[in-house]
Amino acid sequence: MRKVIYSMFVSLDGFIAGPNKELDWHIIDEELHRFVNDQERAIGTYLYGRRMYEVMSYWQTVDTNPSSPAHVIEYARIWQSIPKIVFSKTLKQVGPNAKLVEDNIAEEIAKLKEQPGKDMALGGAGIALTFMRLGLIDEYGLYVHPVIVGDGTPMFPSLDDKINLRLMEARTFSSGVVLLRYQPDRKEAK
Amino acid sequence: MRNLFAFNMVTLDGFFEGPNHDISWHNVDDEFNQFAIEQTSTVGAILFGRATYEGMASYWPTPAAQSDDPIVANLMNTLPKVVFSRTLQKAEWNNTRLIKDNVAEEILKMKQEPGNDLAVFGSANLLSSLMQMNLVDEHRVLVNPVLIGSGTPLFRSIKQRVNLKLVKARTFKSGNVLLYYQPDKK
Repeated sequence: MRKVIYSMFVSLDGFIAGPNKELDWHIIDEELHRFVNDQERAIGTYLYGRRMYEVMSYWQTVDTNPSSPAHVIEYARIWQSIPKIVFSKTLKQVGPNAKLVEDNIAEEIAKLKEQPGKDMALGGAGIALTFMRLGLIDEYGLYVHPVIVGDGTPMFPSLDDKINLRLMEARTFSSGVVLLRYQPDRKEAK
Repeated sequence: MRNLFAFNMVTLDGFFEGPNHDISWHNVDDEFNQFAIEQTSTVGAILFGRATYEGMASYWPTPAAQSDDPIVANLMNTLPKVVFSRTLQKAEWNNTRLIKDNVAEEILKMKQEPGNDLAVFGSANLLSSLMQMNLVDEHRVLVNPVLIGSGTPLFRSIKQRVNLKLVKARTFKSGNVLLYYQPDKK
C-alpha cells in the first residue's frame, strides 16, 4: 500500500512560514537540495492544498533559467514530472500534470493508496489538518531548521487527540538542519 | 565565566506542556534517567520561574520522588536553586534563593562566579526573558515522539527571529531526539 508522507521545512518553534509567509530562513544548500532530490524520486504523487500548490508552482518554470545550479534544475525537472493532485474548492484550473479535486478526500486517498506505485507527498498545513483528522498520514518528515521564527503558520494544526509516533530516523546535515522522520504508532493509539 | 543552558522537553508540535500543565506525555526510560543524572551532575545552580519552581518544589522533596528517582531527587534537593518571581512570598525548598528584581544583573553576577554551569529547566517565561537579554548560551531541546495538539509553546513569547547553530543531536532508543543549539552570534 502506498504511503502518504507529510514532510516540511520547519523552524525549531514549529512554523513552516513566518508571520508574513516568509521563507527566507530556509537553508537549502547543495547538500540538502541533493538529499531532497533523492527523496522526491521516490514520490509518485504530490498532494497539495491550494496555497502550497501556488507556492510550489514556482518550480514549473525555474529550469528555463540557464543560471540555475544543476541540483536546482534537477529538482525542477523531478517536480514537473510528478503528477499532482490539488485539493481546492476555489481554484478553477490547475497547471500541467495536475488534477483538481474538490471533495471526498478520504475516498480519493483510499483509492490512491490501493493503487500500485510510489508513495505520495502531502504539502501544506491546511490540507494536513484534514488529512490528520481523517487519519490518512502514514509518515511525518520534519527538516528542523536552526532558527526560532517567532510566529507564522504552524506545521501542525490544533488537534483534539494525541498522536503517538515512532521515530524512524534522525539525520543531521552540515548546515545544522536535522531531519526527523516518524510513523504514527498505531498500536498505541487509543 | 560559566555557561547558562536551558533544558526542555517538547512535543513534536512544540509544546512544553499540554492544557492544565499536562506532562503525562513525557517519554522517559532508563536511558533518559541516566542522561538526567549526568546532566544534573554538571549543574552548579538551577534557575526557575515561579510556575516551574512550584511544580518541582512540590515533587522532588517527597517520598515518591525519593523512591522513583533517588539520585536525581538528591541532586535536585541539594543543588543551589534560584527562583525569580515578584509574587512568590518565600521559597522553602532546600537551598533556594528568591530573587524579585534585577534578573539580568543577578545572573551576570552568578555567571562570573566560579563553578559548574547554570541551568534553566522548564520556566518558559523566564527563559524568554533570558533569551531577550542574550543570557542563554545553549538550548537543549528534547523532542518527544508525540503530537498533543494544544498546550503552551516553549518559545511562546519570542517574537523576533533568533538564529541558532546546531551543536549536536543525540537519538535515544525511546524515540526522543535531543538537539543542542547555541545562539548564532555572527
